[in-house]
Amino acid sequence: MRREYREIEAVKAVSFELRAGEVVGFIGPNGAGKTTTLKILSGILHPKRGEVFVLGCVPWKRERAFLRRIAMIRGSRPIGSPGELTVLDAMRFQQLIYEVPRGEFDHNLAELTDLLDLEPLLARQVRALSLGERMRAGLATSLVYRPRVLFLDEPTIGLDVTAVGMVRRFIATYARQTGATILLTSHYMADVELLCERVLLIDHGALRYDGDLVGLSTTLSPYKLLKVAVSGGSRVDWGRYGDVIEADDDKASIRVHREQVPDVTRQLLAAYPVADLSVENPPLESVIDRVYREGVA
Amino acid sequence: MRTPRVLTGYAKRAFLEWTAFRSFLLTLVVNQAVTPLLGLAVWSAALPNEPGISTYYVALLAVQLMTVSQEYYSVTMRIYEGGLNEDLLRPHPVVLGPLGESIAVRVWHLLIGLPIIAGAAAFAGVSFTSRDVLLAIPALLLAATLSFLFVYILALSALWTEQAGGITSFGGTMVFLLGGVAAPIDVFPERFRPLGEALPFRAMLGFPAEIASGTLTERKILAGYGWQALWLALFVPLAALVWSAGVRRYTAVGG
Repeated sequence: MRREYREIEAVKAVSFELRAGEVVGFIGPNGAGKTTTLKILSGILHPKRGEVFVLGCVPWKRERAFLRRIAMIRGSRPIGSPGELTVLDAMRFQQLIYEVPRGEFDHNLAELTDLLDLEPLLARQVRALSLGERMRAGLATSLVYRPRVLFLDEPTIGLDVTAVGMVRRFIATYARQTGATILLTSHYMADVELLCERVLLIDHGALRYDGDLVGLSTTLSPYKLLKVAVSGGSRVDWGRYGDVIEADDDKASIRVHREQVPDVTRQLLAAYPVADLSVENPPLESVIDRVYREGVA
Repeated sequence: MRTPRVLTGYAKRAFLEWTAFRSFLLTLVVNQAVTPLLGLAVWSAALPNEPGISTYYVALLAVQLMTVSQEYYSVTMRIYEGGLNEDLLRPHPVVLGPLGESIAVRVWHLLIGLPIIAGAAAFAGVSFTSRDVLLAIPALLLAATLSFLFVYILALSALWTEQAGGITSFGGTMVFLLGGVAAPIDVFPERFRPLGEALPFRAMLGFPAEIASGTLTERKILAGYGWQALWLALFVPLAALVWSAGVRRYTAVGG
């Protein structure tokens, strides 16, 4: 047997700037380069080429002043503390490592306890926590020193509905209250839709989109969704007007190319007694699904 | 003052963490005690007219427990399992974590091993003079530091290879053979003895035991301290070099 190695450029054409206080979604299919980019931004990886500055520092130099102002939380491993210690032990250890003054620590702890409902968890051993509880504890231990920049790598992965809701509410509140800059990766578009006004889409190591969510749908999907209802018992051959997503005798959802929407609308209004008609962007989830499967055109 | 505070924090945390593994610790201590106790049994039977040999092996038992290094496991596992990513994001030198844990593990080994040391001393009928013990303490601290650095350097090979276990295991075998466990350096064939005295393995283990057992002349003690200082002067920059090359590779290709 002989080992063979091949070189893969995990991230090759990614350039963006984040403003202070922004909460930005960083999305892309599996293997697109999201986590690699986060590792570069946090200083774990050193790219062969290119420039990166976070808070004015070059991340991979891992200067103390830089490391004290950032945090990276991974949904797959939200808390790095030994499992035998309690959550409060883990937080006190962070206080020591990050030199958080006692008054500030007490204040932050109280605030995080309130926002994350931590009280029942503080005295429990980390190893005894469920995944959702681990994420809450991981957020608290990572934020008790008030980092200015937060890298969240799939923070809601594997969580139940209640825990997902709590984590989302917490991230939104934390960003609002502290003005921290947050870069968040997630495969759940609901996370991105609820938390981020701006989205970065990466695919095959290159940045494909940088803008708001509405624009994402417009840019990535050449189609609109026409929802039409007709009255008077008319029977319509919906297939004539576009790709039928779903249809009954008197109503349908049709996928129509953006440029053809005015024509199709005019034809429908002229031919049938239309009771209701709306033109919508397709659901983000389906646009992203198509992009992930087929790539960005 | 920050570094000692952080180091103490890591040592306390690891000490607390290991309280959950007291039974496992007991097995580790017994594992560590087996070879010096075997040496005591074998060599005191082989050289019945050498009373110093029993004293040496009881001292060696204490030194072994106080210089034990688990980094071959803990450091390699953190590298292989991705824990190093978290370590790299902490605002202090990464070595403080393993060093703190090493201190905690050694304190635990000493605490659990004390009855074994006392039992072996009573059984073999050995005693130590306070002068010899005091003379051995700096050598013990240097041996503990060298032992940590040696294992740490070997464990960092996990940054290059998935076979780090074999490398650290080979290092352990060398310490066993040439550090004064398999046989005291003093009973090595005469032409190999200078080599045994000069190699780092004796400086990591056998030398403090030799001082504590009162078998060394003042000149030999001074020479031994000289070797320890020399190896320390080599190991510290070597560890820094290996770490910096390893972490450069790790951050270039990922974990």
